[in-house]
This record gives sequence, C-alpha cells and structure tokens, in this order.
Amino acid sequence: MRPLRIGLVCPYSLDVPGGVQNHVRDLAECLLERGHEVSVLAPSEAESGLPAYVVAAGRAVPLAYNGSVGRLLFGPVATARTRAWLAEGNFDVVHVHEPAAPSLGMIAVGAAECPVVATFHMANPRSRLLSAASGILRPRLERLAARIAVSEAARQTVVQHCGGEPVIIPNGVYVERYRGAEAVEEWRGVEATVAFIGRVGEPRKGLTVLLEAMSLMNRSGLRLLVVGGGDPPDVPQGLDVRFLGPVDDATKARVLATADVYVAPNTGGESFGIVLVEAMAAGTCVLASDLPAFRAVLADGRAGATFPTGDAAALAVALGQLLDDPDRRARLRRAASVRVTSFDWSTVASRIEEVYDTVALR
Amino acid sequence: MTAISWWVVGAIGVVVGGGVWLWLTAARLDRLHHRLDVAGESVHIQTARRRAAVLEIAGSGLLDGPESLLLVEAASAAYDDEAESRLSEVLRAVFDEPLATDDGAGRVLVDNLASACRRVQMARRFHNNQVASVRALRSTRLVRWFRLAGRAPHPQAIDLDDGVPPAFAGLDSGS
Repeated sequence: MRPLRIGLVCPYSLDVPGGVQNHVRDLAECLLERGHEVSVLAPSEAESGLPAYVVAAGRAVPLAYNGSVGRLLFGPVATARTRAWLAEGNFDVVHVHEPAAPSLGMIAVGAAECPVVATFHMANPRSRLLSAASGILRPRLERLAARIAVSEAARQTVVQHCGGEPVIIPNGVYVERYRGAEAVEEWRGVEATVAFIGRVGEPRKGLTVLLEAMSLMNRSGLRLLVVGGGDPPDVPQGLDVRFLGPVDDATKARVLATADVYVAPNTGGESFGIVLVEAMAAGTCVLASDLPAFRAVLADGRAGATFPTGDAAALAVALGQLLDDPDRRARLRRAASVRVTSFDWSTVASRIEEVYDTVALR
Repeated sequence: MTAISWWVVGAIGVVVGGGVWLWLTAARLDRLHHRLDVAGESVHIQTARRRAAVLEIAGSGLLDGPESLLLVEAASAAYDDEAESRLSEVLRAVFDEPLATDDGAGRVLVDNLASACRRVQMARRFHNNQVASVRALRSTRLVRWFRLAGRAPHPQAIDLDDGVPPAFAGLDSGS
C-alpha cells in the first residue's frame, strides 16, 4: 500500500499498561515497519524516555469513567497541544482510539481536518452513561469517516450509543513473540500448573472464582501461577499459589508456556480478550468463562474450552476434566494455533490499512 | 434603562444567538455534505479497483476457462450498482472456497482481489453511515424551516450487494 502520514491518538497514558495502550503502541510499530510515517499523540507523565514516534500531550488525571479507572487528559492545554500536533503532522489520516472517552481522542475528532478513523474498544451495550451522553457523542462522532470495533460486543455498543455501523477488526498480537516461549521448570507444580493473568484486586477479572474452584477441586500437586499487579487476596488454606506480580511480555509468555491450562475466569465487562489470544499463541490450552467476547475468540469452543461465567463449581469440573485429558488439550491447542493467525499483527494491520485506504483519497 | 429598552436588548440577543446557531449548523451540515461526497467518491474508486483486480486475475491463467470468462464478463459491464451486485454474485460463486495455490504471484493476485472486495464493502458501509448522519441533521425542524441544506440533493444510500466471497471473508471475531 502507498505510504501515508498517519496520526494515532491514544486516550490513556502510555506509561501505564493497558489493552488500548498496548494496541496503539503495537499498531504504531507495525505501521512504521510497513513504511508509513507515524506519530502517536498520548498523555504522558514523562517528556523523555518515550519512543521517538510519541508526542506527549501532558499529564493525565486518573478518573473513573464508564466502569473503570483510566488516566484521562482534557482541558484547554490538551486541546491546544492536539491542534498543534495536527497542524505539524499534516496527516493523510488520523486514527483515534476510544473516541467516546473524555480524553484526547474526542478532542482530536473535533479538531482534525483530514479523514478520521476511530477504533472503539469498549463493550458496554447497556451503559447508562453512554445512553445519557448519546446527545453529546453523536454530533461529535458524525465527523468520523470510518468506525472500527474490536469485537462484536464493541460493535453493538457503537451501534447502540454512538451511531454508525463499524467494521470489526480484532486487536492484534505478535504471535511470534509468544510462539516457542520456553517453560520455567521452577515455576511448575508437582502434578499440574495453571496460570491466571490480570489485575489481582479487580473483582471482574475473577481470581476469587478460580481460587474457590481450586478449593473445591482439592487436587494435590496443582499450582496456580498469578501474573498481574494489585494486592493479592487471601488464599484459601492448602492451595499452592505463586504470585509473580506484574511482569513484562517476555516473562508473561514464559508463564503461559509453563502452564498446562490458562484460565480466564473473568466475570464480565470484557470486550475482546487479548490474553486468550496470547495464551493460544504460546501454545497453552485455554479455559475461559463463556462471555460472548471470549467465545468469539475461542471460535465457540473449538479453540479453547469454556465454562459458565462466575460458576466456581462448573470451573472446578471443567478444569479437572481438562487436566485429566491431555489428548483433548492437544486438540484444542492445535485448533488454537491455526486460529491465532487471524489475530496476528500481519493480518490485523493489513485490515486496518484497508480502512485507511478507503478513507484517505489523497 | 426602561423596560422597553431591556426588551430590545433581549430581542437583539435572541436574534444574534439564533444567527450564530444557524451559521454553525449550516457549517456543520456543509462539512457533512462534503464528507458524504468524499465517501461516495471512495465507493467509486474501490469498485473500480475491484474490477481491475478481477480482470487481472481472470487474465492470469490462475483460474479455469469458464470461471475466467464469467469474471471478465461481469467485470466489463457498464458501471452501475446492479452490475456491481452481479459481480459480487459471480465472485462468490467462483471463490466459494479458499483457492489452493503455491504460486507466489498467484497468491498476490488473490490477496489483492480479496482486499479489493473487503474495501468495496467498507467504503459502501462508511458512505451509508454518512448518509444517515446527513439525513438525521437535515430532518431536524430548524434545519428544514431555514432551508439550511440549500439545494444539496437529498442523500441516497448506496444499495448494492457487496457480500465478500466466503474465501475472502473479513476478519470477524465470530468465525
């Protein structure tokens, strides 16, 4: 594809890890590699130490919005910096992420003269806030030339509250970075190993459901590896749980490679499920709650097993069966290794380029 | 000031405020119309590219004779929405399952066509989103009373079959 000048706008601080931020960073690097000119506008605490393609728009404030806490940036200074960045960049296309969040994305949509593409990450079709804000959002979002939703759940949210029919393009993963990650022997349980990844203190990530299920299973030699920040909850007596804290991507890949099963016991609010894709890429069998977003990633159970969301007893049974059936695990892993190629950045970035091509006529 | 002059000041305020609102709304509508034109242009460009990609693959010897002929015929018809719909139909019949080719050049042609099909679909969808936005604003009472849309024609959604062949289907999270 012809090289374009592309401006990406991230609403949340890049210094803080998160799904949207990772997506924007990976996308920027992928587009640069494909020969485009890319500049990323993002809130940032630090002026230095950022990748060369990032322009810091100022310090973000942590605020609760639409069910989760994000570091957001708004106000006259942010608006002025966004305008300056747009003028300087003279972009062929501007691609904002999460334009319905009160942050840089929304500002850029209002200020950009060139075609604007927006990716909606959130999935919250019954959001009362978004229903109430519809009158504010719709006139702003009518400026969008193209809308992308990262999942069916995100698509429904857009159609419901923001107007317009988006195309679905999933989040990307660099499959190669996970494929062939090496297991770490000292992390392995005596009989079997299970992994959990996600902010430990956040109830909707479902760690307590998994701990309860493991208590019910009462299986000796089973170890749980927990990756993610936050204060560890009380671990029921007799369980072998190892908290590894927040780790980098390479270590996360090794944790996944060490585990026999990766469990995603999330109880709701998930739009996509990028960690499931990472586990599939690392060759780890996935067992996830049957949220629509997860079922979609797992091709309705063909590329990973599911259990009824929030049901610890059902999780205990499903996990036990999976650990006792290495053939089934191997089958699921094989299906998963084919499935993940659709989520590889090589595919995802091409689809996003196709969107740019349909809106950037210059 | 007397009560009467307050009334005058108030009336001027209302008139000025209303004028500003009308001016802003007219500008907003104008931008919407402009974006709609761009989106319509994009549909034309993408359908033209799809035709080019079809002709290229039909002339490459990658497909059998009958399939190539069908494609050439469908891709050479005079341009209108109906002809594009027919081309989509023929493409779906020809590419009903993934084409197994180890030939690198052939792969490029197929990928190129797949991408062109997906872009036609996107361009039409984005265009029709713009149509909906224009219509929504034009249907508000004040825009109609003050004829802010001027002589701009009433926007029409593009109605054509843009179904992508199963072998090229977009990445949706479902399949």
